[in-house]
Amino acid sequence: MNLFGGRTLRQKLALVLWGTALCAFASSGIALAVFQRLTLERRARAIMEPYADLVSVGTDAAVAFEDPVRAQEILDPLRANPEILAADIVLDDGRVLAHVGTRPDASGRVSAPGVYLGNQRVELVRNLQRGAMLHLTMSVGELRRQERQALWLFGAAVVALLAITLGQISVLQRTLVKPIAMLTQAAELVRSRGEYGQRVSASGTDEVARLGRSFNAMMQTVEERENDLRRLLAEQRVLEQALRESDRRKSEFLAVLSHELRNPLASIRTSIEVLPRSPPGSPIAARAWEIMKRQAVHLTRLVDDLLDVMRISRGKIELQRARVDLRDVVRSTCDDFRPHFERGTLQLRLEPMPDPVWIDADATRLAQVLGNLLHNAAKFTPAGGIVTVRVEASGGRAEVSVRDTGVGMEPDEIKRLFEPFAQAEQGLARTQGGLGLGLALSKGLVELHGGSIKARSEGRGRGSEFIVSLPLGPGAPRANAMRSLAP
Amino acid sequence: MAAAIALVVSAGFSATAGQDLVRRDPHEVEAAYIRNFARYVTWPVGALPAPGAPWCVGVLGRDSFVGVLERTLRGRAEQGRPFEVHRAASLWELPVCQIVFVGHDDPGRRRLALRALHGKPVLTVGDAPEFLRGGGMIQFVVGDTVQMSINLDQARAGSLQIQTKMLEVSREVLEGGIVKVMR
Repeated sequence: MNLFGGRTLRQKLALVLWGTALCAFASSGIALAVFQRLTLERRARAIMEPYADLVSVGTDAAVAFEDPVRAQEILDPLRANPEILAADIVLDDGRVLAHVGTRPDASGRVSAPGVYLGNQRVELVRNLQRGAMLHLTMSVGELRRQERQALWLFGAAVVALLAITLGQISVLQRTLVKPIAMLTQAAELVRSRGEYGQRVSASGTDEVARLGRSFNAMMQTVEERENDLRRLLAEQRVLEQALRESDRRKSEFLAVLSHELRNPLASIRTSIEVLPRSPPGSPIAARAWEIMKRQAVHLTRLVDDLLDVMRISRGKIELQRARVDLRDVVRSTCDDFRPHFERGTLQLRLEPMPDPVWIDADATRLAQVLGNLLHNAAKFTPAGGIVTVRVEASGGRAEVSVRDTGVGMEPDEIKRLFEPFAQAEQGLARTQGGLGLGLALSKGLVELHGGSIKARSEGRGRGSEFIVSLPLGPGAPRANAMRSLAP
Repeated sequence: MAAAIALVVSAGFSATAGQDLVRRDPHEVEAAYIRNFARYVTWPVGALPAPGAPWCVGVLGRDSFVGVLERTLRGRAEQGRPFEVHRAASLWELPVCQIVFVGHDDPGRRRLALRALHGKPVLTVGDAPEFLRGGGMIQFVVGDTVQMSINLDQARAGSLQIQTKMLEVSREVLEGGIVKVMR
């Protein structure tokens, strides 16, 4: 039989300690009983001998001269001791010289000196002189009292041992069993639920504490790796998503690009077919030439934009920076675009700009950005609308704002406005044509200047506003700064 | 009340114990007492015979022991010395003894013998009623039991020391001319 099989650590420890305590109780109890038994005669002697000595010396002459009165005088004080049941002095011929206590039973009297143990009494027989004998009889009460005292002491020791055992179990419980149980529970939680955040308290320097610390350190490593793995997986997923998205957008862009390239080409082909059959100088021929020219310009612009976007994304554009007055750039660009607006019966307003706004910039690229914004404003504003351009300088920054009264945008549209090919995604809903490269390109160029671009709209049908913000340059103009702006 | 009962009971026991003792021949008891004297009385060194030599017990005049003394003392020894009993009609016929029983019935002879032994280290023992007054040292008083009275003055005159234990079991002690009744 395996006594320890299928028990918890705590039960095993308790079993060992209680077993030890029980063995200690039993062995010391047996030892006590044996000791009591072995020392019974000695203890009886220890009590009775002094009395016997006293009587022996005191009755010396009384025995010699057979003086019962004197002998009785010596014995009488023994009556005061309740433990002494009887005392007799018997002469050599069997006559009783003196006695106290219960009348001696002469027939059962022993005559050899020694200690005789009975159930109720202990008798001590001692030789006096001239063959006389002293018989001293004591009750076992005193001996029993001594035994009871020893028993009480033993009981107290047992209680103390019990308390010590309980204390030991409690100490072991606190220092050994509980930490191991916690460790086991934590390990099981890790195994069953994968809770790698499990830690155990491990203070102290013993092996259990060290085991706890090792466990914590291991869990720390595992948890970090788990977190790394999760993060990597999440990043991977985002990356995948982005790649898929990019792929999708590129496919759509390709579709749109094909479409956009095909339309002008179709117009040019039609014109080429019409031209040989039309007399030169006729209105039809002139119109064909006009169409071919416009579509070629359109195609060129399309391809230029594409090239610029590619260059920006690869960081291949270099700015020709110079000190310029932003007002000049804005004014000239607006002048360039004014016919475009007037064709569409739109109104282009340039707000008054009293002070020069100096910046350090590539005027050509800034004009390109502003042109894109004006082009978009014209494109998305219905006839009769107004486009307002404003230049401001404040807090170390210059701002150009282009506000229209056009179709406006929803907030989620604004968010994706500056991503490349954004317009393309609108797919079949597109009505205005174009690749949507303009804003992405503008954003790239403005950021190359250390500035930012943002869009605002109060919603569909409520117009839009685009604001370009650029850092202000040093105040003083330079003589050749304007020259780069010259056409 | 309890004390009174205890006293009565004690007295009763003592009486019975005493009655036990009277059944013996008083001469036997006296013989045993004479032997005890060799133990409880101390003689000056010069008064004792050579080591191992017997005690000399002399009996003067009437021998009321009739052999009891010899029987009692035979084979016994006290302080390494056996006993030897000598009998004589007059003191002059006795050898030098340590203990002399003066059994003269005639007071005149008795007084003469005691006067002759006065101042000598010889323990004089007798049972005559006026033995102590006549200059004897130890007198047996035979009643229900055999008791003794001691003339300490005479013993001291003979340079004999009598142990207190012996005085404790005596009936009367004569000391400094005054009789003290012990019991």
